[in-house]
Amino acid sequence: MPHVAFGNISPISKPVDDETGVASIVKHDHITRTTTEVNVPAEWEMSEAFTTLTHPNGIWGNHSDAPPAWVECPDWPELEAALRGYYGCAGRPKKWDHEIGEPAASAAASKEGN
Amino acid sequence: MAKTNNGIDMIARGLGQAVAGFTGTSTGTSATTMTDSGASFTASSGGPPETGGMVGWVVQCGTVYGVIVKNSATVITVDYWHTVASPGGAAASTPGATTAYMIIPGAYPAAYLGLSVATRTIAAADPFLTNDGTTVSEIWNASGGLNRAFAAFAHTIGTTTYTLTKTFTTTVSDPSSSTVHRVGAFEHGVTAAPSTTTTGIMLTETNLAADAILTNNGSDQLVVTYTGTIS
Repeated sequence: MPHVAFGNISPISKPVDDETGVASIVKHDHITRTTTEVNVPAEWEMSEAFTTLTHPNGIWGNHSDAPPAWVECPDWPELEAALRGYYGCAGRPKKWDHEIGEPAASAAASKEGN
Repeated sequence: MAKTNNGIDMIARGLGQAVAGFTGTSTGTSATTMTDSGASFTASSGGPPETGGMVGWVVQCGTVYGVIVKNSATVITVDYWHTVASPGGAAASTPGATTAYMIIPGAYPAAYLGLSVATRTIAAADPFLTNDGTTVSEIWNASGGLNRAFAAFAHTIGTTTYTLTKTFTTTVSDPSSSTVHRVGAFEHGVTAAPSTTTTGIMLTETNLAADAILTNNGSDQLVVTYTGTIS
């Protein structure tokens, strides 16, 4: 199964209310450099993979609110080229250390209370 | 993301390894079963769908594998036989009647998304997508484009969520109009209309933010992203 990796400098999550289906946007300010990894089903055609990755309701739109810093998909060069062209970015830089701090104190306290 | 009772049990049993694995050589196989007449598997029960036992574990038989839907002491029933490289693709060939097998201890990923027009209030006790609590109301049509399908997994390192995303595209085999209201995440795939016994374990069910009205024109698309939270 093709594996796609994105450099993510502004990660978000969109947890959904079960009944209303409405998503809230959680911005992860404590993370300033990370990687989003995607496992694409092998049976998908190029058009489905590209749409699923780039659609506003799709994968990238649910993981970041900024364009990817880089894209890498060595398993599927055509998809890799299409994504780099769409987002206007290059491949993974030689150095990409994750910068992940501690979540906000309020979030940590809430988690401990669960 | 409403976890179901069966889904919560699946997570707990999988992470904690409720039942050990098993190895042997089959004494019979079919498109959805593997028999070892000398085995003593911990049997599943209850339901439908059945739970406990080896449900949700993976049986590798030769070069293919299946996700266990139910089992007795000697017969394993799987969703279908999968190829490793394309778990959501077409069913693989049935392994030979006498094939070495291994049941791998641990739960299989719940990475299949199924759609429903059901509008009944979501309940943790729902064992499948349903509009009355007893019958399956998941969309399924032969050669349809809205059938349960393996989704793309994504996770951002450092966050507590992951997503499953699938672009559904209608075909002429779908109903003339479908008002999709809900999505379920499943541990098992299906190759025919899911029944109460073949539906497998539903981890979660979630309503869409807005109903999606799709026609069978072969081009209507619905991009569904399910967000799972690790907490």
